[in-house]
Amino acid sequence: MDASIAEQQRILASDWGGGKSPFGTDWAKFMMWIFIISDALTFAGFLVAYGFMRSISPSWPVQTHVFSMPLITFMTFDLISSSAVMAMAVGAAREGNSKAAVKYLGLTILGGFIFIGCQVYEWSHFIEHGARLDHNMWGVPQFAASFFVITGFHGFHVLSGLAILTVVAIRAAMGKYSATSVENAGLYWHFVDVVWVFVFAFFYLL
Amino acid sequence: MAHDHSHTGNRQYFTTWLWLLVMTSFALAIGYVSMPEGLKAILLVGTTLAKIVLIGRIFMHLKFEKMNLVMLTFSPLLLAVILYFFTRGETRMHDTTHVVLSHEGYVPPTGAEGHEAGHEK
Repeated sequence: MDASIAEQQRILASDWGGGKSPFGTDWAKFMMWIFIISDALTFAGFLVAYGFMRSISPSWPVQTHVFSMPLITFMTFDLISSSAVMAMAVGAAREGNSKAAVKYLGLTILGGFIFIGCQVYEWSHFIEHGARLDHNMWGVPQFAASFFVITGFHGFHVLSGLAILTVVAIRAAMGKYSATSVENAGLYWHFVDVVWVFVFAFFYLL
Repeated sequence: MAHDHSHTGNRQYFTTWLWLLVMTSFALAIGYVSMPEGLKAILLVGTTLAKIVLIGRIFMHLKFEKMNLVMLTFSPLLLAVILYFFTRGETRMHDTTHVVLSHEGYVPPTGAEGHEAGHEK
C-alpha cells in the first residue's frame, strides 16, 4: 500500500505525470490554445491545397487585377486595428478595469462588423460577375472555388468571434466576467487576425 | 501603479500596431512591384512570418508563456511546410507554359486598377 502511494507520488512529481503543468497555463486557456492549433491545422491544409491547385493549373488570374486591393488593404488594416484594441481589452480586464474592458471590446466588435460588411460587399460583387464554386469567367474553376472556401471559412470564424466577443462584452458590462474569459476570447480573435495575414499574403498578393 | 502599467501596455500595443501596418504596406508593395516570382515569394513569406511573430509575442502574450506552449503553436506551420514540399514534385512550378491571366470584363468592387491582358509568367 505504501509502495503504491509512493509510486503515485513519484509519477505526479514527474514533469508529465499530471502533478505539474508543463504548459504553465490554466485548463481553459490551454484548451483554447489546443483549439486554435487544431483550427490552424485546418487553415494550413486549405492554404497548401490552394498553393497546389494554383501550381497544377495551366493558368491563373492576376489577383491584383481581379480584386479591389484598396478594399482588401482596408479590411487588413481594420482587422489588425481590432486585434490591437482587443489586446488593450485583455490588459484592462486583467487590471480589473471593467469599464475600459467593455469599451475596448465594443471597439473590437465594431471592427469585426466592418470587416464582415466589406467581405459581404466583396463576395456579392464577385458573385454578380458570374463567379461560382464550380465555374467563373476566367476559365479557372479552382480560382473562385478557393476564394469562396478560404475567405468563407475565415469569414465564418470572424462571425463566430463576434458572437463570442459580444457574449463576453455583455457579461463584462454586467460585471460577470473573469480576466481569463476575456483573454481566451482575445486569443481566438488574434488567431482570426493571424489567419487573415496569411490569406492576405498568399491569396491576394503572391 | 496599475494605471502606469496599463499606459505602458497600451503604448506597446500601439507600437506593435504601427509595425504591423508598416509591414502590411511593405507586403502590398511587394505584390505590385514586378520581380521574379521566387524572390516575391521569399519576401512575402518573410514579411508574413515577421507579422505572425509580432502578433503572437505581443498580442497573444506568447513571450510570457513557457517554451513548451510556444513550440506547440508552431506545429501547424511545420505541417504546412512539410505538406508544401511533399506536393511540390507534382506541381508545374517549373513549367514555362504556365500562364497568369486577367479578365477585361470584370469590374472590381472599388478603386482597383485597370485590367491588363493575360501575360506569361
